[in-house]
Amino acid sequence: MAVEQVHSSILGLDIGSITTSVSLFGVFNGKFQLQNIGTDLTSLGAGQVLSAGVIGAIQDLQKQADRVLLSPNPQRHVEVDQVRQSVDQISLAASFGPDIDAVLLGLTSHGSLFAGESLIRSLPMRLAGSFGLADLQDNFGVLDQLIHLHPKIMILTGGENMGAEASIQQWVEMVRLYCALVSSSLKPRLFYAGNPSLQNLVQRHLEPVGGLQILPNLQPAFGELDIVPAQAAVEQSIIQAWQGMIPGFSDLVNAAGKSVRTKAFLQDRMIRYLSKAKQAQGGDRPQRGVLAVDLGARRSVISAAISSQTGTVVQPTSMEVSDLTQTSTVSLVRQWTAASVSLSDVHQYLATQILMPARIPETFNDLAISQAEARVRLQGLVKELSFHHPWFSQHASSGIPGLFEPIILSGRVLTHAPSPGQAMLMMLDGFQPRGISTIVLDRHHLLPLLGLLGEVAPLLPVHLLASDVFTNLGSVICLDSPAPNGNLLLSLKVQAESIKPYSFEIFKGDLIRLVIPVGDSVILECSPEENTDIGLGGPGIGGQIKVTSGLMGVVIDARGRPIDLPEDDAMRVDKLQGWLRDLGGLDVIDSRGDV
Amino acid sequence: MTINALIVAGMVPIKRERQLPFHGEILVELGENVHPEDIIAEASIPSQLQVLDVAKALGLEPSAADNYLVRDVNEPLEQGDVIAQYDGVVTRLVRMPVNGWLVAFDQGRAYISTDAVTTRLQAGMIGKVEAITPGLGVVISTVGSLLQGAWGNGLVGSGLLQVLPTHPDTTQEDAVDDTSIRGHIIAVGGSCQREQLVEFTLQGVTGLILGSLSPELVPFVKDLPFPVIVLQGFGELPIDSIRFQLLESRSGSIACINACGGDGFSGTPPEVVIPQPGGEYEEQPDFQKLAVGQLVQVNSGQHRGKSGIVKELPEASVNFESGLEVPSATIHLVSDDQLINIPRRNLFVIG
Repeated sequence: MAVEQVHSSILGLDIGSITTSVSLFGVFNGKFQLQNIGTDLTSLGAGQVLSAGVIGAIQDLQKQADRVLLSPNPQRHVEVDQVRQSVDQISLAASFGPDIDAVLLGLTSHGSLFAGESLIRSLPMRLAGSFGLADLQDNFGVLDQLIHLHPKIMILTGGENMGAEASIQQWVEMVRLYCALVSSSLKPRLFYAGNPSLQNLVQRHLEPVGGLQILPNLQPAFGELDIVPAQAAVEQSIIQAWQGMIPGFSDLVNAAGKSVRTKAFLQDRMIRYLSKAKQAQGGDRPQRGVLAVDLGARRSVISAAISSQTGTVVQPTSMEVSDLTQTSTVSLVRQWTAASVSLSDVHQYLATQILMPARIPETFNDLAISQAEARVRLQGLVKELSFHHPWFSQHASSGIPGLFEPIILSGRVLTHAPSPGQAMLMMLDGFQPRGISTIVLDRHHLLPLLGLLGEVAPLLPVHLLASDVFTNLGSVICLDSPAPNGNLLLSLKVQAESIKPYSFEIFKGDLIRLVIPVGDSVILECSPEENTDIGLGGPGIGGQIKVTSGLMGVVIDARGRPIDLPEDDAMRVDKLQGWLRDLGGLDVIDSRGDV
Repeated sequence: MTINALIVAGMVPIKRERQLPFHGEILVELGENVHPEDIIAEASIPSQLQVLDVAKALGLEPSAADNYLVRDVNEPLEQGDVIAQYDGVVTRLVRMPVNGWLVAFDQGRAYISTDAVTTRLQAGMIGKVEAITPGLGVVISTVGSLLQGAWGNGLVGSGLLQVLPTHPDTTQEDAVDDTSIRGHIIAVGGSCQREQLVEFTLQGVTGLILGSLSPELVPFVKDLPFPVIVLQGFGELPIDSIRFQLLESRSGSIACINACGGDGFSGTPPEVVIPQPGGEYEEQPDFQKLAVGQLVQVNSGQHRGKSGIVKELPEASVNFESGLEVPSATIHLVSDDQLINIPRRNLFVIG
């Protein structure tokens, strides 16, 4: 019988491109708890060693903890080993490295190439090239392109189970030849994730020429994606590639005893886990899923899962400065900026942010631009996730469907906004959700770490998820109605533990915050108008909703979907600031008299 | 706290590692003096492939054809050279159809490359080759002034340094008209408009050092034929007296611009190197930690682009206009003689 190893002290490292966090977990009264967290800027760049940021974060942690993990004057190169002696386990969730170039070889754009692209977009990779059936007509043209691209990862897929054998064999030949042509330093890591009946042939031909891994078919039947097993294998190649690129990373990988994964993979894993747990608890009730987003400095990650459907999309956020001129990003961001700023102001802010991604907004205008950019990024993520996982939403332009509860928010711009109302409004404007949901802030960015620590201590995520390390931002009810602005949509009775019951009405265009003490159980008696869908089963269907009040109490969004912004600059800014005020998002600023 | 740093130093030892992205050939020798534009290493990968069915031409099974290859893989060959020969009743020959390289021989077929994609590595600075990693790269070193910048347009160049006057009454047009700038590296205290950049191009400058640049001009600047480095950042930023006093003091010296920006993961920022061989220098201090007394550049708020001295690192976080309460640094601005508070994450150490 396998005996589970007992860990009493675990150090979780979370190394992002800007911030390095260390979280110390211990066992108290038989339960895992988060003891302390320390942070520092990640030490990336010329002359930097990754462990320096880790040592800085541990020093920060030691200021609050009664544990000493480092000597008084640590030397960053050797001290990680000392830390390893001080705890039972180190685990590392990483997202600091660059996107790794991958090439996809498959058959059709709607079939295997689509499946392969979904895999590549779910991890920190860049799709350097994608080649299908038509490209097989020009073998040498493709070979030339492959040589030019010389990707670090090559994924060969295609053929549903038992299909397209001849074409796959042609690709195998091509890959074999490519590996014979390039020098050993340019040989890619090879993955075969196609028709399983060809696995032996692929193995015979490709194993001798390079590192090959055989994976389950990405698309076992047309329209059916199965990318999860491939994610686990491919992401390890990303970790390996980063070890060769980032000074000091290998030392940390060794200290973690291989308990190292990418945060995108871990977020996807945790969302699948939470969705399954929800499904198990749900019984016969209509199924609802879980959604999480992390707005990082260099890339954003969105993951959603419901029932057996799951999907993650990673989107790089730092572009070349010149890209800003060639895309609509600047004008889109300005459109959502709750301050009177020019296109040039926005352009300057975004360009500077690309150069100095660790910078934080000092002025109100900078804050308004950074939060507008967050909205645009959230909107883009919804579109990307809908494209790669059509089950997610058929109507991405009108927001995400009311199928997800909770929605978990991570990333400094959201979790460290000056007021919870600002975080809530960024989420509402960015996702434009419909129906009812609970919004949770992952202030310490623990969700991916829990997905990793579960490997070494399976009870740790269970105990932590039941604790208060995640913050309930509040519940939202988003009304959907074709009625014109100003029309009555909903009559509401509110009962909560520590306030007197009261009633009121919601009209189209309203954005209302019900201020209810944090932690109170709330019962909302909802009577919608005939055409109003509040997420209880269709237009006109009302009923009782029970929620636990979060930082923002309960927010009712009756602005409609998609949210319309006035064309006129002054009116638009007025409108955006009005919504911020509705949610208390300007209280901090108003008290200073700056707006 | 770990912070970002840009080096601005009058006299320091400068050592730069240049590395090929994949295995290739080193073209310089240990101890050799190099100039910024010099190609110091190159690596090629085959391109424009052609296939020759050698087995068919020899009338053999593919598996048997290997034995009759008379050339080595990667051997450069000319049109007509024999690559395979079978001496049977009748001797059969297979000749190169074009000039090229035999890059692979596989299952009776010869793969020929008629072209190559070559990656070339430039020295990026004046200096001496101090170390060589065979097939991969070199270390170049010198002593001199070093100014690292925020952005570069990806090119490398050198020339005599000329600093344009930054007096408020002198326009850059006047300066350009009045001075011969052909073949020079020009330093401009502030930013430049598109028309001025066109004028510099027409005048034949070999490089441009700017204090700041409008981000709208970035695509245009990326297309200019000479290296451009932006020292402070994007926008109309105030002239940084410390950097430009240093540049003025080196006016007339040979300056090298390596405007190939770091990738944010491991690369060196774009930089200007002004070699002063034989000069006395001090070792560069470690700028990993923000500390009182350091020279810093402010990167946010109304004083963005200015430099100052860290006077205090208060324990308590400060609430800024944005509403964010974060660790701050108290900075004494050099140009304004006033104290301001700035979020620590919005500072670059310079010095």
